[in-house]
Amino acid sequence: MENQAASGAAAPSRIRKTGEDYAVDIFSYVFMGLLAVVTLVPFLHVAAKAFSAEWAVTSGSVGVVPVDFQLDSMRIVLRSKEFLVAFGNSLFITFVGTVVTLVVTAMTAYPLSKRNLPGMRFFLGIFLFTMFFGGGMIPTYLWMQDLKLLNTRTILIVGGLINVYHMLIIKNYYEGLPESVEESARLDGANNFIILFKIILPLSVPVYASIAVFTAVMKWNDYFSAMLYINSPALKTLPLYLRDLIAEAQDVLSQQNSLGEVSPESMISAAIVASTVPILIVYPFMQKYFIKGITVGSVKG
Amino acid sequence: MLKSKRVLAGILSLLVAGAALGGCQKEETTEPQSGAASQSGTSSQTAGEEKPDLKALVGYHSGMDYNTYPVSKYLEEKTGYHVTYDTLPADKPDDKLNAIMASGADYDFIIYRNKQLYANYAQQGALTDLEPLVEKYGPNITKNISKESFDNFRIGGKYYMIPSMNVNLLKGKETTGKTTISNSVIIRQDILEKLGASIPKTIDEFTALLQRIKDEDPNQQGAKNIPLVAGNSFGTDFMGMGLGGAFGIATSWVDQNGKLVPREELPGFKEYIRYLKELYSKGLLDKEAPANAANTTKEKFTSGRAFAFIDGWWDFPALLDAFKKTQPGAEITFLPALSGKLGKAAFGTSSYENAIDTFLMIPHSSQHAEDVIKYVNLKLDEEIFKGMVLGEEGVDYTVKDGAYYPILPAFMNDRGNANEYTTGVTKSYSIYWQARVHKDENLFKAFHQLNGDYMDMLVVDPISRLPIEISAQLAQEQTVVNDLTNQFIVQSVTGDFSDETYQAFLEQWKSQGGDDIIKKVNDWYATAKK
Repeated sequence: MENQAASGAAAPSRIRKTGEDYAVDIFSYVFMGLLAVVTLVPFLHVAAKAFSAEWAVTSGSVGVVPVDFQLDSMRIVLRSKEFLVAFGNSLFITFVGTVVTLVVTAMTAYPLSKRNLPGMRFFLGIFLFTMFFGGGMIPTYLWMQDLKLLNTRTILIVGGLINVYHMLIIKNYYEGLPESVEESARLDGANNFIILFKIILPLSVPVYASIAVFTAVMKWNDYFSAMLYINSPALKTLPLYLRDLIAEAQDVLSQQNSLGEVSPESMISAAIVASTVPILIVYPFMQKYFIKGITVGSVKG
Repeated sequence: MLKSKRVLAGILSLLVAGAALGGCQKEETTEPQSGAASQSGTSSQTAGEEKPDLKALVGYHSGMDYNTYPVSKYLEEKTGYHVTYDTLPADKPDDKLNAIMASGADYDFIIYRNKQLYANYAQQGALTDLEPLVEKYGPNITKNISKESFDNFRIGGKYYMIPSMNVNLLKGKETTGKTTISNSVIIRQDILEKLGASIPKTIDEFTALLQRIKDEDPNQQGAKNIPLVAGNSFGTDFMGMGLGGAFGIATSWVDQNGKLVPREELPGFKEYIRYLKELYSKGLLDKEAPANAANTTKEKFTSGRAFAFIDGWWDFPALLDAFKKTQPGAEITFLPALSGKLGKAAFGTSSYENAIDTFLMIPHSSQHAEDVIKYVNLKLDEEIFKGMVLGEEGVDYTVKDGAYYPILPAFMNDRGNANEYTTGVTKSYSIYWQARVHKDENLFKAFHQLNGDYMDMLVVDPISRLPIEISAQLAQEQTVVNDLTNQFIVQSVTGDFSDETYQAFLEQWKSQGGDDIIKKVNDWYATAKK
């Protein structure tokens, strides 16, 4: 009671925290802190290996801090032709792929958001169907072969072009936009294209940004498609390049004739670190879109 | 403003179209044909004859692009054939190759390692029969690759591959018809000398040495002291790589009175497990062995914790490099194979005729099979082959007393990865190959210790001479029973082991394929040349 009087006099709007609140706070911080550490440590370990001397890496002396700091591994990796080719390919595919995906997905979602159009439910059903049932890996592979898309950059951009889940997010967002804006535009004589580009598009920037971020990360990290469809060294993407480096270092059979000349651990670690840099740069700016992303289309009005 | 949106839409659609078109174009560049040039009388092409571009599929090798590597340019110059190389991934290449072959491989030739897949493809009719082509266009091939090698790989009477033999063990300048020894137990020689001990030659001496390491802890590791460290395949590794001979099980099959008996049935097998169990329980073998990955064992050794571990000679430079910082003054040496009451010292290896490094096969869909064989034939011309693996005398290598030495760093830059391009090797390859080992004197010493000093301990595993038709039939069962053996050894060493568990294992081993394998192997052995 004294507390209430005191708080009433000093800060009328402050809610006094109980001991329980503090306990929950402490627990949350500790738990999240531990989780963050557990997530961060492996990455710091790889980064430390990237900047440590080879002898330290081979003997397992590296923890989360570089031992015998050196920039040679990073230098060799950044100059390595293979790495640069793979990096360039990944950049190209991510950039072009994201733009193309976004355009196509956004345009596909628009008519689907118009429930009153005849037959739209049917098309929506088809899209939903593909979310659950796919052709399978082998038929898809053979189909791509028929289309002569194997071993090309196109297939990495076009394969999985429309992610139905993302499209649904955009569609839901469109449905959340006020109809009155569209109606008044129509009254003024606007056709569908004008409505889409001049009204809907500017209003949908948040959802587009979210989907762009999702797509960009997915395309950047896509290992499976590249592994399946790409054979030519000139078209390799970064995940494939990294996986090959790591797998080869673990393959003892090939080491006898190559005289143990596989990429040293520190170089592999340097390649991994170099590959994460673009995402690390982009992420802080896009973070808010990531968080908002999934829920952005779900609340109407 | 409306117009700008239209323009934007236009640009975007152009972008999509451009990406589609750009992607559809083939990646090949057309290079001027150099077929007209004839090289020092070795080319069997008539002047001016067009040579088609060849498409090859090879395994992955880091740090090099097959298409731009010096060897590739050299070969194109000398043979007149332009070859573009695609690579399989390093991760699960078998699966990728299966996918490519199943969808009608668009390659003229494939260089690969897995003989099992070769057998599968051959049996399914996916490969080109090479014998008629080799007879007609491959005089160098028949000169350099023995009939036995080809016979080993016949499927249904025909052969479909050109094998690149692994290195033939040399005795002086003569080949021995055996492959090289690759691994043995490596110990810290400096610690050995500190203890005033000598190199153990028998299994008992070895155990006593390990016990001394544990008791006296000469490297001051305290609780971290590990006499012998090993990886998670320690059970099967040790058998062929130095310890198995002492129990008579260095090779996976042994000839007893004209019949082949698998090692699992020999009394030495049980004794071997008892021995490992003893090491494990006394703390002489790393308690974490079943969980150690390959990197972990190396780390434990190079950090100074472990006194001994099994590794290959090619790792010596890396190990010594690490030791410079972590354990200055450290020296390492290989132990010989150890002898024991049940058997003499032996390293089990494969027979030369069956020990191929890689092989070349031509998919049925290739339109240029003839040209591929002509290409391979040219590569086996003595001069061209020598230039391919050694480079240019005076630039890449020198000759001293008939032995070849590399000029560094030129040799490693120009020909370090030449072995990746071999499609068949000449008889003199084993001599040329030594130049590669000379790239680092520590590397050469390590190789020479195993394959010079200890070469008499090499015992050829009789099963390694099995022709591929039979081994392909048995492959699946073989995998199953090998897994059983591995599991059983690890379980026995770390857990229960008795005559009962052994009997149970043996019965399971036999019923899950062992019996079938024994029968088929012996059917072959009865008629095989001994």
